[in-house]
Amino acid sequence: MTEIEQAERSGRIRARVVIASAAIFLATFAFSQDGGRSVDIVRMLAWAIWSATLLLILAGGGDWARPMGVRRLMNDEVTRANRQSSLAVGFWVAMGTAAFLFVADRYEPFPAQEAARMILTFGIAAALLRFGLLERRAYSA
Amino acid sequence: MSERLANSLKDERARLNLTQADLAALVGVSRKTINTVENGVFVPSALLALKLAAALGKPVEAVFRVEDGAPG
Repeated sequence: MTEIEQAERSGRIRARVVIASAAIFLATFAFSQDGGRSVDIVRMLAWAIWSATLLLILAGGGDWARPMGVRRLMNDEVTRANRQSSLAVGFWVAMGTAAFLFVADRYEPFPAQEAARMILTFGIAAALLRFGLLERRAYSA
Repeated sequence: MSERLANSLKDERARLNLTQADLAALVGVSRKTINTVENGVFVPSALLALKLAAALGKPVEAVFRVEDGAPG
């Protein structure tokens, strides 16, 4: 299999995995409330590691085990443009979430950690979804 | 008035009997990039446009041109 074919195959898989990850990330948001018990601390830690991993995938494209040539093709000009657009969407969703929390705090106070988690979750998930959908569209254009 | 970058990449590629993967390999990009440029989904950088034209043996203005967008 040539590098072009490997990049095509891995890129298509990445687009699907990224969309699924965003959906699962959002779904698990509701189940990782911090109640102070040890199991919740483990959940919060797992969420933090997962968030950091997803951010790294967004920033660098993931698939670090692939050969350099395949990774370069997977992250070529179209993908870099898609990533920039996705990060912009993630930024604005995070800003919108922060603005919502700013207003909502007047009616129901949010702990700082919970607010930060909500902003990060919605920002990262929105960026991932946008990236996955743009990549999928690029493959089927 | 909106403007768009049109191209004759597909025709030029067909003229040389190149597949999208062949052209991608010549330029050093993924097949997806060739596909999105051909279909007008992605506007390539000047660098990529020059590389594509060079790979097809044409001046860049013979492959890419600015067109007025269709109103409405």
